[in-house]
Amino acid sequence: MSELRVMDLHLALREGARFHPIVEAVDLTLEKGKTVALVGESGCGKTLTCLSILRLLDESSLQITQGEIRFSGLDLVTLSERELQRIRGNSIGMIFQDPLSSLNPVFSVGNQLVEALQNHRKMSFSEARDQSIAMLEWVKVADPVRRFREYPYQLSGGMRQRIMIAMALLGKPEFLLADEPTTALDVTIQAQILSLLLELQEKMGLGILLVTHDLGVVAEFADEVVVMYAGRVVEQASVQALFENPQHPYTKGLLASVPRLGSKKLSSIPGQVPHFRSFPTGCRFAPRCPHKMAICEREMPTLEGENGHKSACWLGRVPI
Amino acid sequence: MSDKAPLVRLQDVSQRFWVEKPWFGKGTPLYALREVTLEVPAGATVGLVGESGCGKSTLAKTMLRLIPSSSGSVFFDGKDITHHTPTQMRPLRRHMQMIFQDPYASLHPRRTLLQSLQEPFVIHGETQGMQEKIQEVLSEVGMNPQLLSRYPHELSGGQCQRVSIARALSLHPKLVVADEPVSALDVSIRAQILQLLLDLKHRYQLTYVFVSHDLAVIEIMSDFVVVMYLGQVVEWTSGKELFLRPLHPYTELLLEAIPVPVFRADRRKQHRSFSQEVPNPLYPPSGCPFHTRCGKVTERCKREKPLLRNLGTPETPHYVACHEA
Repeated sequence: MSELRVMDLHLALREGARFHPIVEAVDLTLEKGKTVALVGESGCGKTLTCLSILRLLDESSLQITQGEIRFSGLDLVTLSERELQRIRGNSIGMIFQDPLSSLNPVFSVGNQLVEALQNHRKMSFSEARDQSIAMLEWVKVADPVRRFREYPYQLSGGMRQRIMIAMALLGKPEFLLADEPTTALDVTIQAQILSLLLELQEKMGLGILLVTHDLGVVAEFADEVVVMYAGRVVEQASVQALFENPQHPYTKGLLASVPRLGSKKLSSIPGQVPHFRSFPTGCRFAPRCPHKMAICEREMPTLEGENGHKSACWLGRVPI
Repeated sequence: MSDKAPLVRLQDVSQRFWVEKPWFGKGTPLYALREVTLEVPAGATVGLVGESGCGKSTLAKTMLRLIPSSSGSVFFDGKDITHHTPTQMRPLRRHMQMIFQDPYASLHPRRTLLQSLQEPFVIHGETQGMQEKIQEVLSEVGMNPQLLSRYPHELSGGQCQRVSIARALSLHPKLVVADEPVSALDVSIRAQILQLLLDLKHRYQLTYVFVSHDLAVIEIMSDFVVVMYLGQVVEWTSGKELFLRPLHPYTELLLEAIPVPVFRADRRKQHRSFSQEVPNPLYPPSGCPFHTRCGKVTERCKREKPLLRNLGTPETPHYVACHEA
């Protein structure tokens, strides 16, 4: 069974001669036909983790300092740019948050789809056009022949994201990395795009890594959830376990912060996310944590747990 | 809609923009607002909700006369301000303030917080005792006054939003229009800012117009809710009534589309696909603007535009623009 594994991934940001660790010890496994959600607030490292899988980082300032990314017998961390190019789009596709800035405004949609196809496979224009139009139909774009000739500005946000999905799927990838694919869209359109992704996943057996900050989206679409805070994984569990029995105080705080219909309660996590230049020693959530103990400020808790439900918290592990 | 006199009243306000302009001639009219009639009672919070492009921000700006309306009248505090010149508007401006979505973009990047916070006092010629007032309003919003010499880029999004709120409230306005004030913030910070806005409202007896696309946030904040679709008000009632008994199919669609952070075993089956996208506002559908996406559509909806009618009681009115409601 094909899988994509991120093992003990560390990323560092270079500032002059200094390296700041910004992502540490991230492990996750993507299986075909399943969705793993990577959740956290801005700056927690979820997008960087996602980008590093296809090595789309600006490597002059951001470096993978440790870890492996295993895919079909290869370690993507050590591959050359040329070898990577064969994997990008072919075996692993990607879609981004803002579909308008991901599309080139001066070329027609069709032009960009054909280019993507011809980059990966040798084929004539008419062949590429037919495949592109078929793919547009596949992602439920109404009137695909007309859309093929149109430009990004002529399309709505939801339509643009469908085009991006079509483009990512042209190479028939096994895995899809989706970085906040619905954040820029209205809730009604979000629901359309997510159910499209779900349908495509069933048809093609896609493994999806869904990067998001929206716990509602996670509850409805993910199978497995990885919660990140300040560059580290704080909790990892199946979607059911995470929502029914969250363990880390950060996960609990985050779940309580989501405004819900029918409850006028407002709860928030005091304080703010630490900056990567001044990460606290010990648990990074300690300064905001309601259960902080002495050990939390000294030592970083490891990610531990049973039955696939892991959490990085000292609570319950040491006598108070 | 309330015993209190309205602070803001809009009467049949339309907002028309000319787009797709040819070299000669006017182009095509785009109606961002169509005959909107609305009251904002003093001391209440009115929530404006709808999808992007429905005209909710345009409505907020028209209310403040940041953009002059194409037709209809705007009343503020009992005065007709529809044809006020900018000079006439100026003394009124201190009573109407705005908070924007992007906290970084709403503060001048090359001015310190102190400079930004001095601005309203300088503009309205109230520099006496300014320093103390700034210190006071800053601690009101929960910021350390030692940060006054900082620049916006040194602060987090939540802190910047607190400064924007401090600036809006520094002259004790009557009306505060908040256009998606928490959409750009992280979930864990969002509730802090919402709570702050609620606290300040009670302390200063403010009137809020709260624009958001998030119905859960609207429910927390609003006394009255106005649901907009393609520049028209489709439902308008008290917050309580709307969430208890939504009557317009569009409101139902919006409520259903919100993903809930709770695990449900049957979640995959539940997922019904939401039909259709929002039509192009340049060429709105005939009859009811929502008929292209509505599950209850009839022949009448395609022909005849439904008008707002009261389906509630005279005490708690519930206005809906739907033939089938």
